[in-house]
Amino acid sequence: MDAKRRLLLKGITATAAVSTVAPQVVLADPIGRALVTLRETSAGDLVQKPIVAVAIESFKSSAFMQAIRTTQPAAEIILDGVDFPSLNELLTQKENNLVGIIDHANAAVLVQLSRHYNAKIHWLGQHAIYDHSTAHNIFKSGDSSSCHASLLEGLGACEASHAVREQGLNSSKISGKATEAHPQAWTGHLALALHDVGKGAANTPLVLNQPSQLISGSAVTFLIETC
Amino acid sequence: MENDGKTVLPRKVTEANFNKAVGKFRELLGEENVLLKNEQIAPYMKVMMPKPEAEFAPSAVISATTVEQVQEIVRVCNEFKIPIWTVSTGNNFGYGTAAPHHAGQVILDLKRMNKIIEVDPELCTALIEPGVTYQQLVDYLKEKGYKLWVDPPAPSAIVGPVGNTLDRGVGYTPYAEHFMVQCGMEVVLANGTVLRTGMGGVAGSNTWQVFKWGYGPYLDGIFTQSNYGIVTKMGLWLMPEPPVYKPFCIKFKNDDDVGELVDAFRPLSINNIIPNGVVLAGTLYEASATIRRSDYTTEKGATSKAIIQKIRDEHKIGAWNMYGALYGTAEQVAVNWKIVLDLVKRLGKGEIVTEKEAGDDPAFKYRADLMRGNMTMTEFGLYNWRGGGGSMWFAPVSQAKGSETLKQVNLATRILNKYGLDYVGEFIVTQRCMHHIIDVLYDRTDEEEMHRAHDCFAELLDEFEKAGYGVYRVNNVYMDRVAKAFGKAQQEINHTLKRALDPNGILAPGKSGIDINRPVS
Repeated sequence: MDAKRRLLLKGITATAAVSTVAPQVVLADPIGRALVTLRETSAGDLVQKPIVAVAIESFKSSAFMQAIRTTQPAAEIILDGVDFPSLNELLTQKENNLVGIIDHANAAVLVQLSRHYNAKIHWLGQHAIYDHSTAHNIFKSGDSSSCHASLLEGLGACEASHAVREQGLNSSKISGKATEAHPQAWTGHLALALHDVGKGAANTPLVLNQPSQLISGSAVTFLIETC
Repeated sequence: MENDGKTVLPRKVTEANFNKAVGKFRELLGEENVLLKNEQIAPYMKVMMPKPEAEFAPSAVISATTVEQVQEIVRVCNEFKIPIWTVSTGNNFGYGTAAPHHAGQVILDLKRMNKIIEVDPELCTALIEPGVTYQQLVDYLKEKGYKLWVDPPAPSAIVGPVGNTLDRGVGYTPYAEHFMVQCGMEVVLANGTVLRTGMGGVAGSNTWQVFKWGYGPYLDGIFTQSNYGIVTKMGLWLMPEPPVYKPFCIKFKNDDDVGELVDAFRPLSINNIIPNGVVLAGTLYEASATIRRSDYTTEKGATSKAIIQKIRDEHKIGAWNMYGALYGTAEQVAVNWKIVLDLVKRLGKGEIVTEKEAGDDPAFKYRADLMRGNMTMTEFGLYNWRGGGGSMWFAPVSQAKGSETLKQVNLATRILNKYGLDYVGEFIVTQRCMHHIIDVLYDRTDEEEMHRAHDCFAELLDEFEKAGYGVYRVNNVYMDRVAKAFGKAQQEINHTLKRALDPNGILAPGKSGIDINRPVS
């Protein structure tokens, strides 16, 4: 891990207050409603811990990361290859919420480290993203309708057809054909939803000001609470 | 009430009894070491097998720090008939990870039993607990200034010697066969008895970690790939750091070269000229360190021969890439290196790449690290080859003969391609046999592909069995199936031992197909 990243991690506590400023409530659209639902139903043990945004290099300009940046996370970590040292350091930093989008290689290591350090996985989404369709294998804890609903709402606003399979103790399967707009805006909506889990405050609406990098292939999204 | 309506109860255990057991676990281990909430259990539920996570959902996760706690845990489990699935670090990627054989078991995680009890730098031995990782052991050796090497499997840093040895895993140094270099165990039996195997039974013995066999029946083997006890300490041998280490790669252009290659190099392995676990990596296995399939195609199905050839050409990867290493004094290495060079010259094929010539090639660096016991996570790149989080190791054992190698590669490739999947394989040569390691990679987000991968693996098992081959290890989904392949007599003796040692069947039911609640068929 380079010195800059270490500095960011050490600065998490100092900048945490910035990330928890309550943005404006949005209720006018279905995505907004889903996000409010998410906040209300998934509080669980999550409190307003600092958010640390995590991505691999090739996803750092994705809609997901653009969206999470609008929430002013306490730190942002870009992984370098299969980045065990950075992930290990992230998991040893207590009392953070890690929100991110990474590849399967790093995800395997991340989940292992979560087990090792007794971290709590609130959301683990495995996504396959093709030109005209997406598929999602979702594991989540807590309320089973919240993040799932947000993902579906987000997908509903995009042009690709989608299939969502939910794993865990209660499984369900949903598929559909979406309709309009930014092809991967759903990743931005999901990022904001994950950011807002456990927070009573309102959310920031999704704004993608700059062209975002489209993700092709597979990705893993997560919300992990370090303890 | 702990049960939030989503907890999976163990078979034939009432909710009331489960809660009583949980209460006793909490009293014994403390609240923080008894996990019941979904978000706490979630890290134990990510699987790479072609079945929904729910089929492996644990009832709870508990962790212990002492042998006495483990003894008390089995007492509680016997009282309430609670099945426990023990993991050391739980990183059995592609063989089941931390998940139990089936849903409704309590996972006993021994990650906090992580003491390095003793390392003898003269005898090159260690005695460790199950939660010790290779990284931890390496750090300890470095801190003490001991010139000793470990032999990790590919996930290296995050896995541990105890778990890998108990699953009879292999590495890449001259100490590649981990069970061969294991020496002495401490085991908590299902009735709470603490057994020390080999010389560990002799009061005051100082030979527990130096003499494997003890007296009478040799017992250590029955605690590997089994559910007869919980191993709480294990001895192992460490390799003295050689004065000179010389890794090398020999690249072969054609698919069929592998047969000739095996026949040529087998004598060097048997005669300890090349003493380590020599690897023969196929193109896609080698490519996964740096390349994703989506870099070349996003089409579903098996990767075409044309694309595989393009990858070979663009990245200078052989059809087969043999990695070996020489160890010893400068004189020994010089003599052995000449033998290798002469052999390649006689073969008339193969491009030799030394460490100097490889430069910063990540694939070479990865293998060079593994063959000297360095920590490396490069192999995780396999999970990005196709993406989607699906991975199963299909691992038939092969004779170290060229004809056998070709037969297995062709059979596996035909079946994998039939199901739209790729042959991503390597051989690890340990003198007379080879572990043929094929990563069946597939997309778990695609339900149809997941079903295909499941059926593909089943056909691989069926067709290899018809040809007389068996696998040395397998993930939870196929454990029962593989046990049958080894015959009724083996199944019956395994169950007889199980009934004698664990009459309530509390220890890891289903492991290696051994479950006293399910008759041998």
